[in-house]
Amino acid sequence: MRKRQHRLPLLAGFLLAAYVLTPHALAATTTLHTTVPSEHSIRLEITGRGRVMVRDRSYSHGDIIRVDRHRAETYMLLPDAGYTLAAIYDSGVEVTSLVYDGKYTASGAERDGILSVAFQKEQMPPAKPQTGDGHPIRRLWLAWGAALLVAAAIVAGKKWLPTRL
Amino acid sequence: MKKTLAAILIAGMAFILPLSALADGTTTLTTTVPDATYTLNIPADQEIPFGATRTNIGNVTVTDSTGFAEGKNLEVTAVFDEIKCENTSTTIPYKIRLSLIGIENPDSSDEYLESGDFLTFPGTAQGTVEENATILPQGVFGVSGLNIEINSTDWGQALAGEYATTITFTSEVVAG
Repeated sequence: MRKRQHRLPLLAGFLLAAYVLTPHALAATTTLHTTVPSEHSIRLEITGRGRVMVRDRSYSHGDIIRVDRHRAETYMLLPDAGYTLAAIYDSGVEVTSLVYDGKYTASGAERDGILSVAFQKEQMPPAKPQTGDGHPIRRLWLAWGAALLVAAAIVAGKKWLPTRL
Repeated sequence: MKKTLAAILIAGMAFILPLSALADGTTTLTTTVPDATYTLNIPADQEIPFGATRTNIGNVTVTDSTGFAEGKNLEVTAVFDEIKCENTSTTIPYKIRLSLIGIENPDSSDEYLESGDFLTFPGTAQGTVEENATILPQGVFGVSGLNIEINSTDWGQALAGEYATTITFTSEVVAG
């Protein structure tokens, strides 16, 4: 493909001739339109049990959240009792580390997207071990204690027993 | 009296006719070679979907062409600007990628039509031009479509609003 400007000197030199030889230059136009929206749709996907609040409105799995284009939006992540946040993805990008105080603030949306939130059951704290439960560390301490008592008894016995003359 | 008048007329004609015969006899033949005629088909006005990084808008073709002298081609120049919005300061730049006949994947060509570039419709021995433009200087690839390409980044930066752009196609018959 050649550029029109490459031929400009030639065309200028033969302007009159060109006009006579090509008397009819036809022009027509194609107009293209597009609309950049002022809002975007964020589809909410939740696994586990919980919900998300945006501007005092509660959303659950499958809901569409309408957000303003180019405006930061804060999502409050609310797990049900016994659940905790496991992970959150903003249009496929993990943003779990950006959650602070149970809230995720997304930068201004530039297109429609998906917010995926995973809640999981809370881990139960381990039961407090009881004495004699067979815990290996506890057994080690017991063994050490017994050994010390025996050693002390031997030392004491030697000290108090009558010395043979 | 009548005889006298006839004699005068004959004498007069005899005097005039030789003069006429002396004049150089020419015959002027005129004809008008009609201008080449053709129908230029361009893509229709249309909507570009928001976020679309590639949209086929159709093709530029020439049909019903006649009267093209030997060695004459038709060139169609495309002039366009960025997509603009009346109410915002942002613009959306775009490029026009050509789909080509004759390559394995017609939509994967590296040929772009930039503003000011022209497409050439080669003349034929039958006094017509090819229906599809060809890419010069190779001349072996026919243009089968125009694709509007917009980067995702440019979509993302655009402020909300109604945008439009106009592509002006200008055709003219040129010497090949």
